[in-house]
Amino acid sequence: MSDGKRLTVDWGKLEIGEPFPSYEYLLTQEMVDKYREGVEDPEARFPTISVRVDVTAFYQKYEDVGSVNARCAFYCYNSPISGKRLRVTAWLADKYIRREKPYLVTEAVSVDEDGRLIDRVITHELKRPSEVGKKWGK
Amino acid sequence: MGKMRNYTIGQELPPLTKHVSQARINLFEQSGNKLEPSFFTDAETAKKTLGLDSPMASGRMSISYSLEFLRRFFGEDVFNRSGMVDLRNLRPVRTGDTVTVKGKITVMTREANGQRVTVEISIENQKGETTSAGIGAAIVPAGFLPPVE
Repeated sequence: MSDGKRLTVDWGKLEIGEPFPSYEYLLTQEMVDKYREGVEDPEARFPTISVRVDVTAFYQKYEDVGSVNARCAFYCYNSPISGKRLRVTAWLADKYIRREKPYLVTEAVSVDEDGRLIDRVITHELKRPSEVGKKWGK
Repeated sequence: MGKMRNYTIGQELPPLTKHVSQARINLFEQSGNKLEPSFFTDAETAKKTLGLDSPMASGRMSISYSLEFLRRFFGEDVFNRSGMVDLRNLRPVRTGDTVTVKGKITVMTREANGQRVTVEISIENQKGETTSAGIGAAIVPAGFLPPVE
């Protein structure tokens, strides 16, 4: 789905379980190196967390005001290998209102070009990012 | 055969401390191919979008620190194949903060493929404020554990 055809989020029409566009990307050694340097962990094996594959897939389908990560779960299955392509399958896992604030839950799994299951990520996104400044000030 | 392990409820894990500089945040974002200015990397965007006067770190950096924290404890042969982290982000981690990941074992349960060892996790900043809290776990194969009597 091209950027010009993204849909505006209509809360009432979002369906739990609805798929987002699947996509592939190449995990490069440069991505791995920058990730390890960024988190100061030379043994880190899951740079895929920084790619935000679930949220990226959401924004291939929809556009909105943005969001902040309120909760995130990450499951490790097999360490990804640089130079391999990863295929991302993502969907809307849940939606809810808590304390009058809207949250969307996105979920994605990544599988490499050899069919190895790499990881699964679930993110609760607060769809009202200005709440951060309201609560935590400057 | 991997190294033998022994776990007990209440066992504390060695803490892990990280300094969160803007340079580190920028590298993290670049590693995920997020090259446009964002509220993680750009003060103006942080002010406009979040209402903060400086960028904050992604909650996924806290996930990354927790992955390292647990991998060091369980060993990469176990954790990188069966590990997980589930964190609620309770307050922003800001540029210049120093955060420490802490945890202890709270639950152990039998699974079909080993024993699930669950760790309660909290991440605190340099002021002692909790920035994230949740759990992590790994499934340790029975072959790595002492024999059951």
